[in-house]
Amino acid sequence: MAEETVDQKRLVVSTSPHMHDKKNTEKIMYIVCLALLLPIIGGVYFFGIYTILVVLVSVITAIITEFLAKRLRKREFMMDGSTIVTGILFALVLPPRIPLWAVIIGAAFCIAIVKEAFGGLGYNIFNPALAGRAFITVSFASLMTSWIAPVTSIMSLDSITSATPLGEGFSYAGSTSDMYIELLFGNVGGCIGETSALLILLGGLLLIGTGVIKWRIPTIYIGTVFLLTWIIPGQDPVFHILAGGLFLGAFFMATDYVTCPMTAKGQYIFAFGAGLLVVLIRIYGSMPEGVAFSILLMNAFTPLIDRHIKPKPYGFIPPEKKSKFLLKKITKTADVTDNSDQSDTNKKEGKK
Amino acid sequence: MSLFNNKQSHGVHPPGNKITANKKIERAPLPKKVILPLSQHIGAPSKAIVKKGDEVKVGQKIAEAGGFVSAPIHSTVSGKVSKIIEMISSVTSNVGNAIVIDADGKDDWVKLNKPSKIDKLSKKEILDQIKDAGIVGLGGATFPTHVKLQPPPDKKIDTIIINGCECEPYITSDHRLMLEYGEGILKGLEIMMNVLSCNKAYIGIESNKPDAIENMKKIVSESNNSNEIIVESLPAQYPMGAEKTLLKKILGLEVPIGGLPMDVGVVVQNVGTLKAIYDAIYEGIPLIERVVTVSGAVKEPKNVISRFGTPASEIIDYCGGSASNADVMIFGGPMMGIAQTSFETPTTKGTNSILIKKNTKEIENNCIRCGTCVENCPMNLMPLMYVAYVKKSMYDDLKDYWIDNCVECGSCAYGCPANIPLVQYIKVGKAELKKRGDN
Ligand code: SF4
Ligand code: SF4
Repeated sequence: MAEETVDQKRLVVSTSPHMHDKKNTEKIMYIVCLALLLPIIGGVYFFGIYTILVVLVSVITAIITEFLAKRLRKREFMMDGSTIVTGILFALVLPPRIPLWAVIIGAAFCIAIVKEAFGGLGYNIFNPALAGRAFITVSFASLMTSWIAPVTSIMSLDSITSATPLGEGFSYAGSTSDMYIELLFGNVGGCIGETSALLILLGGLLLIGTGVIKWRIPTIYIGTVFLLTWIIPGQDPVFHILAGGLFLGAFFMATDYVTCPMTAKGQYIFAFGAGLLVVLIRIYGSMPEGVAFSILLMNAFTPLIDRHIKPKPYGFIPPEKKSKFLLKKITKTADVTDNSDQSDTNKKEGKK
Repeated sequence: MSLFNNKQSHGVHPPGNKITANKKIERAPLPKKVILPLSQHIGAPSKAIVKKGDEVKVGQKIAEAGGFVSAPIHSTVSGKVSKIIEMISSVTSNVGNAIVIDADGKDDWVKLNKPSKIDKLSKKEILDQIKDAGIVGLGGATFPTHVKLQPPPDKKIDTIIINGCECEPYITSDHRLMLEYGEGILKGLEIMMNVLSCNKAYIGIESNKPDAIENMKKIVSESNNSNEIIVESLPAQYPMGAEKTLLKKILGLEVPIGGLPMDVGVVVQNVGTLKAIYDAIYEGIPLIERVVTVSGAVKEPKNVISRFGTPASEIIDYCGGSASNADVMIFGGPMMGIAQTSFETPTTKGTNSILIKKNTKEIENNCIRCGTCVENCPMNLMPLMYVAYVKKSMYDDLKDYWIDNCVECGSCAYGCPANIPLVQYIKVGKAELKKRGDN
């Protein structure tokens, strides 16, 4: 049909939609990196510049490992930012004076075994950073239990041994409210990036504000820990949510898209389960801290949750409710008939 | 949210880009040649009743309805049938016949069959007139209107919803119609209410068209039916104009899976269709033209009335031509419209917009399970599962996730950060299931 009209131009044909939101994976990951700068700054402030070294080594190892793994799997290597996020997160959950060789081993494990061996971004079951941490904890237990007190100057490489708030030897000399404030700001012993609840909260709010994560998981997760420790006698709920890695875990790890459930309902279950596990591990378990394991355990349940918790599709009527639906329809029709009688009269009056 | 408000559906908020909202409807010059496919509607293709060499006039019936769910087609120019060709449908990509007419430029009309006493017409006469005029749903679905107006006797229609949402970006043809032909739309609605013996109607318009809402409210309040017709301002959210979301938003009812709006006593009709009904009943004019929004990368975006069968290039030229780097032409809007292979593709009854743009598709990445598609889906589905199953050819599992409930609105793919063309996977999955069902 186009014989008379010359149409040299080739048009591109593709399926709808022909329009796309500006958001893409890369942008999301870089926003997360930006938000993670806050806990990194906290880490540098409280534990000195060695922190920067740990973060850099972790990120670079992660990128190199990813590059090699993609080579091995004959896939194209792409910098989508997710590797950087994993690298940073892994560094943030390590003790401040971790030797660099352990960082290298751990970061390589995160990427090679936890992520790439499962099929790469989107296919891993466990959060890579947390699984990497668990690996180091199991393999080099002593490294993961040597904690230091916050340093006096950023340039200092001091390592004065000290207990973490959740550890056994921990005691605080001042008043309870002073302790809360120290915990909030992060001036206590602990992993590089987990001590300052305030900075993490700010980073988390940035993520929520930019729509990268939803409020659900962090709120329910932290809320569950708070409520349970409030109910259990002899526990201090404020202490429990501020101490340890709960905030970092809640805002940055449990919300990891790949390893948390997809639906709102699934996320409620996930976050509640993780909160419950934290309390059980902390109070009744043999470990002082339970955030990492609570999230890893719930990661394992995620495929199950996603299989069974599906949103109710539009127009779905469960068989037993069919009759109710019809009833509703009948009442609705009755309503309309009532109205119509009225409007009929109105109409007649109008016409007169 | 759904806990508190059962009228809420998910959706997305693409930028409106309604650049032609203030452009008055103009009449495009008469085409030199029209190509009229015999399948411009949902249902059986029409049967040609003219042959090569026949002289035809404007409005002359050139093809009969090919069944109950079908509609006749009329010549949109006066001239001579030059040939009957085979062509690929611009909507379904199926091959079908099309009648090519060379226009003589005289624009001679047939004698119009204008009913004399409109008040005296019986329902049957009105329905016949609508059917004869070849009217189909002009919102894009192109379902024959006379069929929609004859629901089976066990389905009592108690509410009519008029769709003036126009939730697709760029398109403004319905918006302009409501501003410039509001009276015709109302008259069309009155006819429809009469035919369906229904005395409750809503006109749903998105709040980003305040002038249209105001105009329709004014027209309705001045009519005899001001108590029965309610003009509703709806939030501007895509896909508000999808039948099912619209119904839920206005009435709080959900159409059961696999059902039609008439299963809950509702008929949804587009404003353009009402205008066509008005033209057919009051003027006797069959459906031969419509308002088309020409937008995107064209020199002067416009709303034009153009005859069906006009090659898109003629309409684009009237709008100053397309940008030199534009390589995509879409019939319909950017969310659900269909990309065409050639600028010569003729418009049909369903073409509400011609959108020209530059291709911006990006490469597909891995799904990161972010859940955006689930959050965006107005049908509450889990679109990412379709991708996973289609990739693995596990087509039967698609049904566990209610794939048939998908309206292909594209909200999922719109928001997917991994640029996954979800709708493409869904279409493949549906087609495969259909093929299996047929065997
Ligand atoms: S799955 Fe279908 S209905 Fe849901 S958002 Fe995607 S295209 Fe729309
Ligand atoms: S929006 Fe895209 S990346 Fe996110 S879950 Fe859906 S398919 Fe996966």
